[in-house]
Amino acid sequence: MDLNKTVKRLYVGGLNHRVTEKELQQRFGKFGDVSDVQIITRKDNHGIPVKTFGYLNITTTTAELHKCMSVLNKTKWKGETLQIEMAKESFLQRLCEEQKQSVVVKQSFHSDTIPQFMESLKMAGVENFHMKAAVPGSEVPGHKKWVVGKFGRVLPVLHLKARGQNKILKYDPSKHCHGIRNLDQEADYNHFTPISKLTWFFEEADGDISRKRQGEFPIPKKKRKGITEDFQRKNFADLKKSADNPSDIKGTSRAYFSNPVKAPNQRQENGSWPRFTSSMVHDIDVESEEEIKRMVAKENKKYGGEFCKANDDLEVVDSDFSVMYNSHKNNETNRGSLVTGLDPSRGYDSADTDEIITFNKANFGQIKQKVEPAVPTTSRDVTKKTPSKEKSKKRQFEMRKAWSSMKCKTAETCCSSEDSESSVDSDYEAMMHNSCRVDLTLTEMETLAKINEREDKVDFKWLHNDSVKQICTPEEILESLIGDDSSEDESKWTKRNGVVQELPSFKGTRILSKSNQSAQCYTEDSVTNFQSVSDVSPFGSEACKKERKKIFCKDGIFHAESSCEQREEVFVCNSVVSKDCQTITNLIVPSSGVLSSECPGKGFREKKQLAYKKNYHSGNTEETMPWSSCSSSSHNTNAEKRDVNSTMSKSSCVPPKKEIMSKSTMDTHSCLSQTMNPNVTNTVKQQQDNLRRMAALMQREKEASLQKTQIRLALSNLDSSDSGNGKHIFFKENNEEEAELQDTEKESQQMLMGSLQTVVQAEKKSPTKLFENTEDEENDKDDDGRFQLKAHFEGKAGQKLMRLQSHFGTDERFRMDCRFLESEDEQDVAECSSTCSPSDAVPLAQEKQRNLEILQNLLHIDTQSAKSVKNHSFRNVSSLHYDPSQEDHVAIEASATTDVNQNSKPERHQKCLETEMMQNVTKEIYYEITANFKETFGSSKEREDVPWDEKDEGLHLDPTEYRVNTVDKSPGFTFSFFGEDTVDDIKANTESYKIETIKASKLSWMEDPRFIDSSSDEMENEEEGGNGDKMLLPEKTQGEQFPARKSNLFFFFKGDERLQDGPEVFCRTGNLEDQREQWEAACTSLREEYRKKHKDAKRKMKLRQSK
Amino acid sequence: MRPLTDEETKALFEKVSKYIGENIKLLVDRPDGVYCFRLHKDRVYYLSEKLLKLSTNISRDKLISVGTCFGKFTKTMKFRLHVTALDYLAPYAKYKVWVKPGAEQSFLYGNHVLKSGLGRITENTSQYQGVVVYSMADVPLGFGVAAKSTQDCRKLDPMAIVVFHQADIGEYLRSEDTLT
Repeated sequence: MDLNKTVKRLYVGGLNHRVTEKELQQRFGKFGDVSDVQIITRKDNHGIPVKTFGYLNITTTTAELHKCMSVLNKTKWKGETLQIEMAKESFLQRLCEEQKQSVVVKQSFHSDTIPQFMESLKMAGVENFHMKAAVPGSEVPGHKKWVVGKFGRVLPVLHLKARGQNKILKYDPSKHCHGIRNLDQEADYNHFTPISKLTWFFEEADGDISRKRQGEFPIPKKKRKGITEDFQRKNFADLKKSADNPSDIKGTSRAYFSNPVKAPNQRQENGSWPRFTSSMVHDIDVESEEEIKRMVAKENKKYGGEFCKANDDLEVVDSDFSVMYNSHKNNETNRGSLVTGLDPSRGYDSADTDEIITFNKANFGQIKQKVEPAVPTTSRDVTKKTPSKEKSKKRQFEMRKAWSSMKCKTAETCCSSEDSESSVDSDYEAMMHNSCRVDLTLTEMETLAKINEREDKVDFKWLHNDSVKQICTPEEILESLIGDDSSEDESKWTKRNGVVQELPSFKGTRILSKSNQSAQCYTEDSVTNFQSVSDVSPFGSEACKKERKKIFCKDGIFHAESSCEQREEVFVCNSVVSKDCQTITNLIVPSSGVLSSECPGKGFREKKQLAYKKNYHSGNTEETMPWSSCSSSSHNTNAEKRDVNSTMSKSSCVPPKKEIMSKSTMDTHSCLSQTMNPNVTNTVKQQQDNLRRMAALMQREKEASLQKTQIRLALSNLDSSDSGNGKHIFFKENNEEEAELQDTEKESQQMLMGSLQTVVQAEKKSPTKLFENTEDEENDKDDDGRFQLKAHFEGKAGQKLMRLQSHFGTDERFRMDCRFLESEDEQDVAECSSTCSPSDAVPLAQEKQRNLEILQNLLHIDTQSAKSVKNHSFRNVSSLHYDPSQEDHVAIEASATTDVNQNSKPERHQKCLETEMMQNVTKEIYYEITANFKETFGSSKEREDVPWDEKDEGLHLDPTEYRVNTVDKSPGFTFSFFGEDTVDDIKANTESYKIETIKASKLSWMEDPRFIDSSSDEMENEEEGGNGDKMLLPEKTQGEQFPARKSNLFFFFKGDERLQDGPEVFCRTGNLEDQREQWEAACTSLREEYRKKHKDAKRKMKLRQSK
Repeated sequence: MRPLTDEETKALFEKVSKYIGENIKLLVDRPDGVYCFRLHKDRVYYLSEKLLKLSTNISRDKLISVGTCFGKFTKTMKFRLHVTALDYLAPYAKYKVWVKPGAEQSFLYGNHVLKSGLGRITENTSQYQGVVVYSMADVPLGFGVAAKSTQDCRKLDPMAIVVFHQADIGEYLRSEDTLT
């Protein structure tokens, strides 16, 4: 806070646009001298000022300035809030500066600058990119982006994009080894190593061909070797596919670390795991499961019987051991973890790998020594090449192991873990190198183990726990290597493994590598390797895990967990043996749980496993769910694992899962103790598991059956209740069944007596609605159309009667017969109305009506008519019962003669209907029949001849004739269908007849065949007797040509026109030849016409078709 | 519990007729009994007369549900059809959509039906027509609204929506609480 007045530039914002410079000056003048006021107004499109602000230089002290700021800032001035800040440089200035800077920068990267750079480096003390006496990790002075790496090399700090993550990671080479070799040491540049002996080469070169290319011709291969190689290749492919090959260097160590563990899993899944990316969760279905099964089956087939003997191999330790021994004998530098704890069953595998490795090793056997010191670093850091090599080796191991484990029904585990750990193991390597390989017998190993154990008692507290774990599989072996030794060995081995495993990935593990512990471990392990046959059991591995965890508790949970994790991974792969996908999930779960708790960096794997977990929905997933969120407590993981294992054991058929019995204990000790049940109980436990499984199945079946019975009961109740209501429509026929219906109805009615009468009514209505003639019959009080035993009990009324009858029982005095019917009906009607009165029924009906109306309005449908139409839809005429007294039934009456000409039934039927219609339409009498024929015939002669038209002319009926006829004949007896009243009509209609003329048809075929000219009938009355109804009855008249009649007489008489005119009908009127000529003339024209018509028709057809 | 007013009835019938057309008459006017609609707490219930009488014995606040709930009226008096009405819609449905077995599950989870999941569709279905969704085994799964007419459906790409989901039987599990 200096009191000197300095010129400061202030920015004043939020000014009202009406503020002037003077005002500003005045305002700020209180705090100092103001000079150089600038007001800038920012205006928008229309010139309206949007922003107004100003700059001013004020000469004042800082104190005053602060005062000024505090007083004036955020105050309101002319409606706007002031904002006072120290002015930034004008943007133009800033822009200039930036440009200058960029220019500078550009210049700096000019190619000319490289030598400059070198010089600068030299200035900093870097010669040829080497800095002498520089501690790795120190920065290069003067150069921000350079750092001193290992061996004094100056390396750039890189910023690399992390694969799988959308960010850029900073890679500090000083923190990673990545196989950087101390070139100086090797830099005996006079001694050139041939290419074949260079340390770096791609792992792919492990193939036969590549090796051959390198000049290494393998010894005559055993079958197994080839298989393993094939397998390797296959697995390489799988691994390559996996998206999670870590590319980020930072993660490589971890990934590398994880790889070995993953690899077996991947293999286990036979390539399905690589696909388990978080994005592809949804892909994981049953399919993957099937896939796995398929793969497993395939491999089983492939390697079939050979490896079925795995068990045998396991049991027969010696031979395998010997094999192993051989391999190890050959290998002095055993890079791989082959030795340690390899399953004897996989002995040949390890042997193979050993061989391969030895081949590879041979190349750099010279460098071996050099390698060792570097190994500690290399084990941790992975450069591109070495990691790949190591990784691949590891992978090989893992793969083979996993594969072999798959074959072996008895899961072996530890070995895989060993494998995983091993390959990177610089320490191990060193140890191996240092330790001499000895052909040890089992007994020797035991003794050694004991010795070792004694030595390391301090460190391995857990060893005191005799019940470390048990090794399931080969009982004989176990018996041979009883108890402590094996457990100790195993534990030691696992410890070592754990240690080894942890080395590469995490920083702190360096300490471990250097610790005595590890060294001891190694020594032990080397010795106990061969005993590790017993380490086969998965539970053993589990125990190992636990132990490992324990061990590394000292170093921090971090390590333990990491090791654990690998174990689990291994475990997982082993468990695949069971060929039960569920188990996989189960196993995966713990690992995933562990993962989530431990290694955030292993994102991909976690996701994979979690996803896998999700998708394999096993009963155990519920257990697994909480695990994923579990903390990184080793206890938890242990327990979980155990849980998984136990569940898995139940579900799987794999024998070796019995050890882990309880789920509860979190205490590792207790866990250990549990797992330490003697191995002998293997089979017993298996049986127990089976029993348990059976019991569970039985229970499930029982439950299912219980449910079924419950459902059945429930449904049956439903049915019975419904049938009792009688609301169902019974599609029974008439007659006797109706009585039954009534009875049932009666019963139901009685049941529902307590209920509303409306219900009863509804029930009663139901049977009647079945029949199509309901409306008709309802009209008929006597229930026509039903044949009944007791007529009066039929129908609705009858039902009521029946009901009433039931009231009175069998009392003779109260027999209900037909007399009571109609009154009953009336009463019923009254009842109906009365019962309808209760509030609900009527309003309901009203409501219904209203609803229908609304519907109608809404949907524009005629609800009423639809209903009515429905009812009339079917009328069976044949079912009608003829009642002569009924007018309607007249239609049914058939005449004796009409049916001669037979019309088919439907036609007749149709005619019937038509006649009915016709009847209904008109009552006109077309003719009149006189019974008294005498009169008819007598009078006929007196009659004038009715001018009957000839065929060529239209028929013309003289109405007057009719009248005459009618008048003449006294209507002594007129028979008509229409009854007596028609007689009057006739009279009345005579006039109408006068007026009306029968429409005569010009040609015979135009006539309506049903229309029978009554006039002809009159003549024929005599003959046809009293049949007068011909007119009305539909008849097909024979297309008779009406003969020209001059008289109405039947018999010809002299001078009859018919005699004269008739023959003319039959004789040619004209000359034949003329006619012929005419015809021929006409013919051609006709033909032309027809042709034209034909063409037209054709054209039209074509047009139509083209459309 | 009260009968529906005319407007409410109209709204109800309008909605339901979208799916079953004039067959709604068969619901209103049944041969085997008198059935009616009743409103209770904004929900429309379809019940028989007999049931109606019985239900009058229960006090309003204690009564949760009667008969079959067809749907409910929203605050703005729009009627929303629920899946519980499916039993009455399905037999009378005029426009039907059948869904492939693979897409069945998706529909039951509440997703729309995509073209790729469409098995069959009634001819001359118009756009925005109410449809009932069936599985290939003719099991009614729910109902929805046709997003495209039958003709348009033919030309769609497989990821296009053909039926907007309105209700499905999966709701019985998903929204148990709100179904009454």
